[in-house]
Amino acid sequence: MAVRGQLEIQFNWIFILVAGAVILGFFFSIIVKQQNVSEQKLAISLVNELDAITTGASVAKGAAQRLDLPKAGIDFACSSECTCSFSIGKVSRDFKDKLLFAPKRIEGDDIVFWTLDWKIPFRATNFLFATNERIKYFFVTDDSQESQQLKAKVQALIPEQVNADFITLADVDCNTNPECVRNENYVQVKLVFLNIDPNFGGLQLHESFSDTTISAALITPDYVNFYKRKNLRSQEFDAARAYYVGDAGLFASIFAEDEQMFRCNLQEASRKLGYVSKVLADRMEVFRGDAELIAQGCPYNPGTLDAIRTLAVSQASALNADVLVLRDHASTLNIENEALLRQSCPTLY
Amino acid sequence: MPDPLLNRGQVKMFETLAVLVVFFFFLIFGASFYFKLQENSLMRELDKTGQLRAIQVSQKSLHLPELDCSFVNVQRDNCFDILKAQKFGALVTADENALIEYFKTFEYSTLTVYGVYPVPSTIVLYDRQRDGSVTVLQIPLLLYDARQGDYGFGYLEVKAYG
Repeated sequence: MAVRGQLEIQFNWIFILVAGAVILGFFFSIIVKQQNVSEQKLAISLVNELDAITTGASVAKGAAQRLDLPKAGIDFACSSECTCSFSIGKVSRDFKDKLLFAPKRIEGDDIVFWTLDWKIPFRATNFLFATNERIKYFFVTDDSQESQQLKAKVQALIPEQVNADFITLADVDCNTNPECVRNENYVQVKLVFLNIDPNFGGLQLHESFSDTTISAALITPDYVNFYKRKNLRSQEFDAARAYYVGDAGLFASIFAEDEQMFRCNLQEASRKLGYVSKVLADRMEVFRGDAELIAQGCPYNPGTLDAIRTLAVSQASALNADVLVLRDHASTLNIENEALLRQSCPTLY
Repeated sequence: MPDPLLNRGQVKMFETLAVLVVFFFFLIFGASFYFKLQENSLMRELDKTGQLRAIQVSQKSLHLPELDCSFVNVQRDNCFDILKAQKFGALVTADENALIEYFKTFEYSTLTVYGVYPVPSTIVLYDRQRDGSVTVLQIPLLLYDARQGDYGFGYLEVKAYG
């Protein structure tokens, strides 16, 4: 009897322990799952909101706006197959139709979006640039005409929300100038050399830059060289060249993380240019067949728009130096459009 | 004769089991109530996402250079060039690559321009449908005829498929 009673008490305790553990485990697993789901939900909702914000920002031409940034920060990347995406935490979203030029990562309290239209010479699309208060752009200039022209263009268009300083090569090189520029706690710094050879071999940056993510670009009137530090403390840089057209193209080379992001977006922009010029060319054909406009002597020339379209289609698959010819076509089309305007004919754009 | 101690043990065991059954009954009832609430909240979220997408699609289309009214690069708000709209619709219908390209912009949606004045007309700009919920949005528009230099009235109907 006594043995059976002892067994019963022991069994009760074992039962309570097992049942308690099962119940605790059940609730614990639900809590863990709910936590993961909540984090995922938050990231998805932030990505959705960012998608909506960038859509709004991308259609607001010329506008710069400062917006709150999620604590997790935002990462931007383009793969070698030109699949570009932004991500918050583990949730990623494709750029889709947006042409977004941004550094690899933006973190801090806010993010600045700026939109500029890409005109060849008509608006083909809008470029969206992203930066924030923790990122600094040093524009290095000299007295040459090209450098000063590029400086004037950048100064005229860059919004005040972007941290930009215009300096000379002597200000960067601590070998020759003890008062050289130093990092004022910026997380990322971009050195943009406006038509000046960066000469990284002989350039000594201030030691305050040693732990900073530094990238650099050489911008000439025709092309841009993207430089990437080989590693964090290295003074050596890898270079990649790309060609640009238009003011928006110039700023794309300033704000893009690397040549990959720049090239992918410019190819997509060229694709869009191809379709816009096709619609404009088809519209022009209607004008060319209109009896009243023929009688009025409106000079519609399909050649230039066709040339823009052909070039845009070819550049959409491989961006190269040929893209520079777009400038000549744009200039010709501009003259043709003004001629139409003078004769009170419907303009092309 | 049955052992009274064994009977008492069985009763205790049944009591414990009954408590567990009641406990899990409440747990399942609570969980099903919670998941129902979650489902409703998800449906509301999906509805909101559908509306947001319809707004985004209409916002994008109103600023598309392929459709807008521009005068030496100055755009007029809420205005479509009727010739551009016709040519754009024809392009997207005829060229599969164009349809794929504009899918990035409009995704699963149908965009139709309805002319109301002076002449009623219909231009389908883009049409890519799928089964599921539909959010419809209508936006009043100016319709510019570049040949005549005249404006008409109409509206853009955006159907966004969820």
